[in-house]
Amino acid sequence: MRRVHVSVWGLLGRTDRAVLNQLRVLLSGIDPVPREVLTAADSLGQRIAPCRRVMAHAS
Amino acid sequence: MQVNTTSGTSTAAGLLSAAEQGDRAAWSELVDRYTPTVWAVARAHRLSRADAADVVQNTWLTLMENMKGIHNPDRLSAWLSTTARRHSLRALAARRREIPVDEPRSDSLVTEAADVEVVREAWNAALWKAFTQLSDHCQRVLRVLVHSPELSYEQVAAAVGIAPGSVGPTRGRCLSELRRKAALAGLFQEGVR
Repeated sequence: MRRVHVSVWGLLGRTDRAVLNQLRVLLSGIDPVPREVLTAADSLGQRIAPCRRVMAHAS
Repeated sequence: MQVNTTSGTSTAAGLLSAAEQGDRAAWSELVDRYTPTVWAVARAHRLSRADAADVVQNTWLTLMENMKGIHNPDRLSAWLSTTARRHSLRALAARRREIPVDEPRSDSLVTEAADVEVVREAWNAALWKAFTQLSDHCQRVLRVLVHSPELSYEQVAAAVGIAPGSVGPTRGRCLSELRRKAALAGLFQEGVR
């Protein structure tokens, strides 16, 4: 039998969702992901592209 | 394979598949979409910003090395959360070897938050105060929850490192406590906002 995915948020009431949404705004302001962290993670994508393209040309 | 990432509606599975084929835009979309979750898991483990940055980088590296091994791409958020937890635990173990456990953490969010614009608004300041009065355990669970609406109870448990059966009661108790503390400041009365 296939298990149904139920998110925690899916079971929350309106007030709790409002609390969590506001908390997300707050935490994103207080403790945002530093820009350099995003840039570093994004730059990892460069390692994939050349490797895959070389493989594609070879085949 | 190119995925239209500008609409923000691409599925995780589609983005992952495209990124695996070398689509940089798809990879960037994955990073933008899920890094806040990975960051939240790392910070929920009380890692410093520098250590959390390492966890983020290591988590994305792990994904890059295991793209073909993701059995259920639609659950990518859960996979990243669990992987981020593993890297967080490794970072914590390394820190314990280096730093005496009673040494105060250098980057206390409580003191830093006073300088953040969003907290200067009275409404947010009251909510932030209520949040910081919660137990560490509650703060960890709520931090992961707020950034990952799609996670199930089992996935939240894996990300935070608690028993799946305790996520529901913990979530209920912590949110109730947060609402109660915030309500003292006139926020979140039932039917309001």
